[in-house]
Amino acid sequence: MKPAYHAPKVLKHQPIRFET
Amino acid sequence: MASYIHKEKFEVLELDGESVILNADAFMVTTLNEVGSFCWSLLHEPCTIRQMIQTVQTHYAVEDESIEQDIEQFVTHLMDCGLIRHAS
Repeated sequence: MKPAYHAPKVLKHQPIRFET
Repeated sequence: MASYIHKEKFEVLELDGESVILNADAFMVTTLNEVGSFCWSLLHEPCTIRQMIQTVQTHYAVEDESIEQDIEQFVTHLMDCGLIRHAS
């Protein structure tokens, strides 16, 4: 049967936006 | 050697291999790529950087030395995001 390796990354880190 | 673990139980959505982590207390949302999601799954229980490197090398069948640096940076980033803590 291996998945491809890419560097582990934090893609986004952002505040939650509330839509009222 | 220091070990790390999830800071608390977060809500996690998986979309196309990426993980979206909802930190409701801090009103923050964090997205991890596929390998980041795999590393995140290892941190359900206390895990050292050395253990993470070995598990990633086995899972992805890579021996690249840069993995060590990749994972150290990733763990530092997760700490900065407030998602993991030192396990004691």
